[in-house]
Amino acid sequence: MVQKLKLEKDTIISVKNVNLAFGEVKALCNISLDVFEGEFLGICGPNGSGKSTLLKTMVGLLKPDNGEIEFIKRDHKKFQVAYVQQMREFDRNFPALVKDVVMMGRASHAGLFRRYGPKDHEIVDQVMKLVGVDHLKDKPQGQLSGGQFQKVAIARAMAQEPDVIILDEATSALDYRASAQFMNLLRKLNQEKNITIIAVHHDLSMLKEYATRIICMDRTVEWTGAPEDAKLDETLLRLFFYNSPH
Amino acid sequence: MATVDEFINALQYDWLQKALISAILIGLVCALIGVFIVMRGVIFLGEAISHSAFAGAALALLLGFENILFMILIFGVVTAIGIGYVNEKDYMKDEIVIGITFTFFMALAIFFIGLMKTYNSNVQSILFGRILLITDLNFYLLIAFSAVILLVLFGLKKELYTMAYSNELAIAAKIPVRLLNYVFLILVALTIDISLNAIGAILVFAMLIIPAAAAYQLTYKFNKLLVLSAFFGITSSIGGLFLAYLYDWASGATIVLLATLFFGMSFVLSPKRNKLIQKLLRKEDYYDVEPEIQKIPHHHGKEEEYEAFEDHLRQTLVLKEEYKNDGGHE
Ligand SMILES: Nc1ncnc2c1ncn2[C@@H]1O[C@H](COP(=O)(O)OP(=O)(O)OP(=O)(O)O)[C@@H](O)[C@H]1O
Ligand SMILES: [Mg+2]
Repeated sequence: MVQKLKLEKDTIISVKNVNLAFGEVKALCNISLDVFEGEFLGICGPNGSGKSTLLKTMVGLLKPDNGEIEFIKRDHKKFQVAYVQQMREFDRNFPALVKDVVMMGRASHAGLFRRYGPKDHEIVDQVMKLVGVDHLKDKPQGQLSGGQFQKVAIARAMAQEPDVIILDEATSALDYRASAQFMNLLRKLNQEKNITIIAVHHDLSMLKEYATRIICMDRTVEWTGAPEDAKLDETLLRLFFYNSPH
Repeated sequence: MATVDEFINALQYDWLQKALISAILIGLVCALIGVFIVMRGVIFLGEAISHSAFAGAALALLLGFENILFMILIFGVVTAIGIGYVNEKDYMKDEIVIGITFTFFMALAIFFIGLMKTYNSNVQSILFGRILLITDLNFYLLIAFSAVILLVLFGLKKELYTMAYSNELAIAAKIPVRLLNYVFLILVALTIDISLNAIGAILVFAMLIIPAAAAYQLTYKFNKLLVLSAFFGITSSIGGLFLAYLYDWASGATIVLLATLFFGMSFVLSPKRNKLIQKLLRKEDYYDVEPEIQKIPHHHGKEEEYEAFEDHLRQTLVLKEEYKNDGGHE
């Protein structure tokens, strides 16, 4: 039991005193947080509160002005972070079938000047089945619906064999049913494959239901705790209703 | 006007063989690099680099260099790296950077030409290309550079493809995007530089874009796209050279016109637009442009999904209450 508890508390990403400003705008103020292995971390906060910026710094798309982000991996190879972006208009003319898109998750595994091997194909087939986009594999990616597109994005992320999947409002384009299915899928990956999930999400009820821990932020970490915690609602009310909007 | 027989006879001559091989290589390399240029949407990159290469050529002529290719290479590659650097810093839109570079080098080239004391026919040949007059040295350099470009391009194919799809996803997946960006820009510059003598500064851009754009009309499959683009590039090169020889037309222009003809045909016949072709191709490559209708009848959701939905509705209502209680606070 003690052993198990300890395992659950293994930090895999450690963010320490990260600051980031866009010119005058301070997007992240002294953010420190730990992400634990195997958790489903939900992040919420008002518009402009720096959620996307935080995720982008974790993924390596933005460099913090100071502070550091450490990825801690004990057992094997390089740390893989998969990233699913905020849904937006995608290039419907881009020449790729769904299978090609999922295959991109393997690009950095195969290495420069190497072709995809049988193992890459095998993994891609597996994750497409797992995510349920198998039947779409020969469809041009430009012909997908929003929900299908996001599922394909998850399959691509999974093909990376990630330690962590980071999602930025991945379901904001989906209807209730599709996003519930999507969240169920995430939960399944989280529980069965022990993949750590970090998800920014605007639907608070959904977040409460699926996340194992929630962080409320507004440029800095305002509160973190279990979704059942009564303090959560209080914090949300404060952040969303009483603080001045940006 | 020459006859077809004469052309075939002339093929035993060294110079025509060289011209033909050059045309094939240039058609191939431009068409393949062009696919990546079109995918990334950096169409005018080629224009900027070709004009800088032209400025390099003008400078080399002004200084009376024996071989101008080296100056062309320097100008092209330095410009490519410069554009990459400025874009990386993200000071402004890529298009603006490229637009300014393009016009700057055009002005620089005209400036150099103005400084020349006498009329130099080489200027015209660089502007319009003279594939039939390629020198031995340039021919062998063309072969060597083409080999290197193709090798690197295919070695980095999956990374460049992923980056074209989404730079951000490529960075997140730990592909060395910065490095590969520069490698790509240098490949584009080298391609343009070695094509300059044959096709000409004004038209080399066309060889990058048109075959790829034509192929784009016909398929969503990446590998097929590469093959089709190469096919259009090589066919217009060979065909253009042949027609230019036969009718004594300008070779660069003939090649480009032929490529444009191919584009026109693919555009008209594109299964992405043409209903009749869609029907003919139904099985193979074509899919309904409308997203597939979800076949799940929406009445048969799982029990827990319904419960979750109910929950969701309740929560939404609770939140609405909060808004109300809040007394109209936005
Ligand atoms: N590229 C940028 N340049 C300048 N300012 C930026 C940039 N990206 C974000 N910002 C600013 O940083 C702050 C945080 O933005 P961020 O996108 O992280 O918010 P967010 O929490 O993701 O909001 P949303 O819920 O709307 O997605 C905002 O004030 C925004 O204006
Ligand atoms: Mg955001």
